[in-house]
Amino acid sequence: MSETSDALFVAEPERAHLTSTDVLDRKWIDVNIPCKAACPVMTDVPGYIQAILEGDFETAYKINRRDNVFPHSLGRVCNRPCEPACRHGREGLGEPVAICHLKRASADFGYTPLDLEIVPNGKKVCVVGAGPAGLTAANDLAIKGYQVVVLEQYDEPGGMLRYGIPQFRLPYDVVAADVKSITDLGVEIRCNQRIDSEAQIELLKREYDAVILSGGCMLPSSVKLPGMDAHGFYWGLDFMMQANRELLNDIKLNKVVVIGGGFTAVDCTRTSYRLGASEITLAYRRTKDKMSAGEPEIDCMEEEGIEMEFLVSPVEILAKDGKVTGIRLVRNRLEEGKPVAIPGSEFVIECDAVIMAIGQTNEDLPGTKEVPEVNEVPQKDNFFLAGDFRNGSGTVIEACADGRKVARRAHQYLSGIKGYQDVVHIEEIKLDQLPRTREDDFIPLTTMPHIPVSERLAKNREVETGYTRELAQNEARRCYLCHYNFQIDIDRCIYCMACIDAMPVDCIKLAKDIDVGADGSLRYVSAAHWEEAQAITIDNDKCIRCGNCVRACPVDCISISKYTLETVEVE
Amino acid sequence: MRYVIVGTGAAGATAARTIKRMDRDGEVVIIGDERFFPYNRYLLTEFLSGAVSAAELFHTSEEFFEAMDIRLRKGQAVERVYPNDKTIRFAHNEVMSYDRLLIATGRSPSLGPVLRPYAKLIQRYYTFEDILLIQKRLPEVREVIVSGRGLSALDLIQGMYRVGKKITYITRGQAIDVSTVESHLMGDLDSALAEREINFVHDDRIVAIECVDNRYLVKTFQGKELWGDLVFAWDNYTPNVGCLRNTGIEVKTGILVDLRMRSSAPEVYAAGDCVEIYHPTLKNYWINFGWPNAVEQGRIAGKNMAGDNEEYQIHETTLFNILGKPLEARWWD
Ligand SMILES: Cc1cc2nc3c(=O)[nH]c(=O)nc-3n(C[C@H](O)[C@H](O)[C@H](O)COP(=O)(O)OP(=O)(O)OC[C@H]3O[C@@H](n4cnc5c(N)ncnc54)[C@H](O)[C@@H]3O)c2cc1C
Ligand SMILES: Cc1cc2nc3c(=O)[nH]c(=O)nc-3n(C[C@H](O)[C@H](O)[C@H](O)COP(=O)(O)OP(=O)(O)OC[C@H]3O[C@@H](n4cnc5c(N)ncnc54)[C@H](O)[C@@H]3O)c2cc1C
Ligand code: SF4
Ligand code: SF4
Repeated sequence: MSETSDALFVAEPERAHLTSTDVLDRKWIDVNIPCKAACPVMTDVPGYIQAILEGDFETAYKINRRDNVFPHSLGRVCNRPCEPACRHGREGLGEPVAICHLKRASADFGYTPLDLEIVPNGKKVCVVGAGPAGLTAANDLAIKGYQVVVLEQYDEPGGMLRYGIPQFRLPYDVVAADVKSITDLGVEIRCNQRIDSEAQIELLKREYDAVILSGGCMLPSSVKLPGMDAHGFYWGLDFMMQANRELLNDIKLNKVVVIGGGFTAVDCTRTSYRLGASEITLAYRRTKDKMSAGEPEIDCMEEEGIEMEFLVSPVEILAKDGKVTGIRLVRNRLEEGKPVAIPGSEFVIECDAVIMAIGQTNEDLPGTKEVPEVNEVPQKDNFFLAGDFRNGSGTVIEACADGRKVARRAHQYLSGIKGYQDVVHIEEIKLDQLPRTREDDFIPLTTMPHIPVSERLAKNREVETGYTRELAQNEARRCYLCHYNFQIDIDRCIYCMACIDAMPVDCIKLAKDIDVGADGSLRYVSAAHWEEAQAITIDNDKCIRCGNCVRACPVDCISISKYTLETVEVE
Repeated sequence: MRYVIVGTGAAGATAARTIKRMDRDGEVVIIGDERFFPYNRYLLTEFLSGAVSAAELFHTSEEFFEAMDIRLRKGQAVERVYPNDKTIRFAHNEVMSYDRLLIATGRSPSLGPVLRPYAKLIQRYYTFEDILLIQKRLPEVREVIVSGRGLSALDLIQGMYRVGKKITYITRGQAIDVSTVESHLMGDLDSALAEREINFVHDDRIVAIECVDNRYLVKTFQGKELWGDLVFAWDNYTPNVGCLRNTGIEVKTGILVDLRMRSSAPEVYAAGDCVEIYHPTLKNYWINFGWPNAVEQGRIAGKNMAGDNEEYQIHETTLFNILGKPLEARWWD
């Protein structure tokens, strides 16, 4: 095993700890730290939240910078798969922790330039496309000592962070801050360089030791409907890209209908609002709960007075004298969850603009179709594909995860290492390191401050203004810190029941038996009476990490350990 | 056979009665989160202004449920439905199984993301409990602010007018906001409003509410500052479908049902203001509104649950015709 890069970011104090490669320990993390397990890059969520709780925003930032590379941007626009997984959101426990807002706070208050010692390895990698996937790969390879050059067709890096997502959600200077922290590592980004011919790609493959193509999904998914050539019809992606280049500031919008249910569709409605449209309708073929845009964005859209029509599909765009006058839609019913048009249910919404935002797809760049998949990574010799270009339009964090996966494979290919392995660090924790009390369980979710609706017409003004340090620390107190594992040493336990008397919730169980599955899952066969108890166990799913049991135990048989995960190279 | 009905409103109570008539031996349990015996919700305004008595308001009593052999569980909320296990869970964590389930949870005035932070400062107007609260506060109230869509805004305005309060009405449109279904039922509302000296704030909406010395300061999008002793506000009426979240039962805004009042899950029916149904004349989905419809849907759901196979006929005439009087007459005579 080689030196890992984790230590380069966050220097852990030297404490006695154990390193395990046991599947049971690895499984423990997936089962017990659900937010981390749900994150495509396995961000150490409780790690950074605990740092915020302790007022150490810098460490919180560094953990995020290490795990997800774009803390400023992701802290605003991540689609947050971790939050629905958070234990705090489970039945009866209230709302999930605002993991994403806390990520933003870590960047707002903890940003520091990285000071990594990078040892050049003499090899060169070229990345085509400066979106989150390409930049993550560039970041990871630069840390490994590669000289990385990123070629980008547009005049600024960031991909959809810069040209797709509007500034009122993600200001450009915020994207720029994240990009700078990557170029600070020595990554060179060359803008206005489009790579689209076979000759160019072949040349790159010869000039560089490896080439990673991460060109995103830059084309709107097309459907053919009558009337699409009329003035006032837009493709959602084009509309957003033009608006973000300030090219639509003079258009006259009045009544707008946007078709779609994803991020792009919602951004199109909100951008139309800022461009002066007075009546905006979002029309989506399924129901609201199936929209892929995030709940906070949908909430903001509603605040801005945008109307929604569900279970409708477009049929035809109506035009007069070459100008859009309306859209004919049909209502759908759901058949086993799939939308099916109801015959005879067509109706018209009058409007002067129709924006079709039903998805994005990749460009057909030469030589990319023939790239085979080798262990889940598309690779042909020294040529790799990454991000939305390969997977279809997705999310920023998925693009980052894919960029990381491809960078690891490229590194394996170029360095000859055998592969990678997950290791679990298990560190013993003292009672006085536990910050939580039962009161913390009752803190309500800290809402994100917003600018008032009456000030939302300013096109590029950010709507969410961010937590203060105090709000962030308050929110951090809600986290159960699921990385702590409480265990009772059964051999030493004298079954005095002192812990059971001290427990704040139903967290300590008497068990007749414990079944351990092959994958490490545990099943407790509970005992009704304590006479039949063969074991006493702590249910980490219920534990709120207050430490009452440890304090109460007369024979000191309850231990606390902290589990962290690292992926290391195998040589 | 155990029939479980969630919701003690018009739809739920009618379904319970219908099932019991068809299946004498069936066990019928009806559950409601309100503390009271089922009552005529549409008479709440009349009750508030003293036009009807408590006896007229309540259409059921303990004796009724005893005589019908229906088990009423009032003051108990159902938190979650588990269609795969055919069980429901109460807020107090009790679990109950069912063979057939009816969701008749009605709807409630709901606050969008702008008003939501001010929920504590807003007086709701929907249940008997709300009316009792308002009655208690009325002596200190001189001016009220009303902001909300739909006919119920009219009902509320009329009620406040009858008890002698000064009214400010804020609406997003040019005129009173009623839906397309409702609009053709309305007479000349504007003049009726004018006659009642209502302060009409149009093309505007509430963006903030503050409580200052027991009065309320309402700020609007257009920058107006308005004072009132009570604020009634809502953005929409939203079907109460919280207990179906993440159950896989299809919900648009309301529970999607077919004409036999069946939801997308086997043995789960829905009726009344909580359902959404495709309406061929309107060419649109339509969230039920109105007492007669709720009664009719409750009757059909009840029959079908007890083994019949009847289809609900949507006719617009049943929308709001109540007490034999068209709606305009009831409110504006
Ligand atoms: C309007 C909109 C809003 C969105 N909102 C969110 C959100 O809130 N949350 C979320 O998680 N996701 C969101 N997404 C999706 C997210 O932005 C993408 O999934 C993500 O950016 C994909 O990353 P990527 O690096 O694969 O590609 P991209 O971000 O698309 O980057 C690709 C880059 O490659 C460049 N490029 C392409 N072809 C070439 C070429 N031939 N030569 C040189 N350069 C080239 C492009 O110019 C671009 O800079 C949104 C997308 C859009 C369009
Ligand atoms: C002031 C006012 C005036 C009206 N005037 C008229 C009129 O003139 N004409 C007309 O046609 N209609 C009128 N209506 C509307 C009419 O009252 C409703 O359409 C009708 O009551 C709907 O019946 P329902 O059974 O579907 O729902 P509801 O009567 O709302 O009953 C649903 C019940 O279910 C309960 N519930 C909800 N969720 C749960 C849960 N999870 N667990 C347990 N219980 C739950 C609710 O608390 C409620 O008691 C008026 C309404 C109001 C408020
Ligand atoms: S409580 Fe904290 S550690 Fe546990 S799942 Fe939620 S965010 Fe993650
Ligand atoms: S620390 Fe001990 S007492 Fe506290 S919640 Fe966890 S198991 Fe229960």
